[in-house]
Amino acid sequence: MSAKQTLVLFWDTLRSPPTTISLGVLAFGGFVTGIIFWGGFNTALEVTNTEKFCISCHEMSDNVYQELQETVHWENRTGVRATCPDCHVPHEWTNKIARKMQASKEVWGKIFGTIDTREKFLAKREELARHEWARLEANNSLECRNCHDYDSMDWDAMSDEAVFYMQPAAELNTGCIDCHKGIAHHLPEPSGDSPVIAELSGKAARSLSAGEDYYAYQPVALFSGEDMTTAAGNLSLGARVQVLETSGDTVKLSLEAWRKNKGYGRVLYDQFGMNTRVAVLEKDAAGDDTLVNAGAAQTDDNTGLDWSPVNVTLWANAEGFVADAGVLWDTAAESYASGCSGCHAQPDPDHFTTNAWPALFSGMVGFTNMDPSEQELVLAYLQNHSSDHSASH
Amino acid sequence: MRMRSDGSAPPTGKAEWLSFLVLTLIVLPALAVIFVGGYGFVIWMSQIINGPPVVKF
Ligand code: HEC
Ligand code: HEC
Ligand code: HEC
Ligand code: HEC
Repeated sequence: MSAKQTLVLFWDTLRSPPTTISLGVLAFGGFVTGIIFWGGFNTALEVTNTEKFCISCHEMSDNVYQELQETVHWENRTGVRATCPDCHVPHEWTNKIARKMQASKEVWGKIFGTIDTREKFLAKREELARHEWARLEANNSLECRNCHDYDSMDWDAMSDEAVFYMQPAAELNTGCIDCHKGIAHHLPEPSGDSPVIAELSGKAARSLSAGEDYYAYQPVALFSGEDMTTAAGNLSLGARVQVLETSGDTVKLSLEAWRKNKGYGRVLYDQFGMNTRVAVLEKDAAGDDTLVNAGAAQTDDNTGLDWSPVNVTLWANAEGFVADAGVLWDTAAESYASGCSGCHAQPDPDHFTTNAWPALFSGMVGFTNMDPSEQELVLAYLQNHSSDHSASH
Repeated sequence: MRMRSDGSAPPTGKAEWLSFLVLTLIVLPALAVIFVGGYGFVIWMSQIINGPPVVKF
């Protein structure tokens, strides 16, 4: 019998009333297989929801499982264990099924060895972690709250630091993951290239022309001679320079800045009395009168320090500059809005002074995912748009 | 008794039992899994497009 004939026979049999099997047997048979199927289906869901299953592939047992064992969620005085599915699998049925289908991709990755070594895992970790953060941010840390609850927290029993941060968070009902990243596994190593800097490099000035102003969007290495052999320091993000001469890939720069007449004067600032850093020079370059031309000192009444205007002439590669400061600040403003609005509305930059921002910023930036370059850029943005710079203040 | 679509004889008891078992043990469970899996897949895809489910307390 061909396959087609078999199918036709099958279909015909299904279409006609049974001739030899009684209705009772059919109904009973359907009923029993239904029960068995439903039981099997739920058992399968449950088995794939146990930690044993999660760590049955070595990708998980060698990496995240080992790390979990160092944390409070593995062993604690109350004896409550958080297992992988407690934190990672949604409890609501629809989302649970969706997550299971998603796991089929992970099985695919397993079969084809996408992350079969520790190195590959670490390289992929940041992406994986970001997925989990996005999920926990979107559901306001629902999985954590299946066990933890702000309303049940005894503030008196907590450390002062915890109370200071978490009481306001409880009022706003902020999700736990905003502050408690890396609670169960090691945090991903920050990858070398910052996405923000990569975005800016797409808008970098192609070629620099003499007489024009440019702004550094990444730390630019400075040299004290056209031969580019003696390192003279680094420009900070957001620093404004004027190009004096260009020759091939090398440019001669002029930087107008201020320095504090204290120590070697290695750090250069944007304006008199303002702690907006624009460059850090090597000791030798900072003391070289042919490179650094200082003017008459003025005293800052707030601090009693003497500041001198300086005009610095140095060389650099024609790389790492944008022609328009607006490009820089737009990107920084976006980072600021997305990084600093999670727990409170982000304060207007001109709500604080240039010199107040560094301390405020460094106290907060640990709560964000900003990489070091992004941090420097956002701080430069805040300082350059502080109350000292806005006309209305 | 009704005529078969190809005019052949009515199904035998053997064919009937075989069809019954194939349907209840293989075809229907497979369809159920496909439907649930497909449903999960559709939600997954919608989450890729719309972002993960948002729950505000
Ligand atoms: C299965 C329940 C469970 C889940 C889910 C859970 N936790 Fe916990 N968590 C605990 C228990 C139990 C402790 C330890 C309590 C104690 O001190 O004895 C704990 C402790 C903590 C601590 C204190 C750490 C310390 O060093 O004292 C933090 C922070 C924390 N959890 C955050 C989270 C976050 C964030 C999530 C979600 C990603 C989460 N928890 C999910 C049960 C859970
Ligand atoms: C605004 C940031 C923030 C948010 C949001 C937040 N925490 Fe915390 N939490 C902290 C800080 C800071 C500490 C103290 C330092 C530490 O232990 O890591 C802390 C400490 C803790 C501790 C240990 C307390 C102690 O002193 O023993 C627990 C448990 C905890 N958090 C759980 C949670 C849970 C659960 C959530 C979500 C419902 C949450 N936190 C949300 C910032 C936050
Ligand atoms: C207390 C909650 C909790 C438990 C328990 C837990 N995880 Fe996680 N897991 C997280 C959070 C939160 C992240 C997001 C990244 C981060 O903050 O470290 C994460 C991230 C991950 C990642 C992405 C890579 C990475 O390291 O960031 C994998 C894979 C993972 N978990 C697997 C597991 C496995 C397997 C288990 C069981 C052995 C487990 N997790 C148990 C909370 C948990
Ligand atoms: C994880 C939550 C969280 C994030 C993210 C966060 N903050 Fe805060 N911020 C707080 C809490 C909590 C306070 C204290 C509120 C209070 O004391 O009433 C605070 C207070 C502040 C204050 C007021 C301080 C003062 O003395 O007036 C400033 C300014 C501030 N944050 C800036 C920022 C900036 C800039 C960022 C981004 C780098 C940021 N915050 C990101 C939680 C956060």
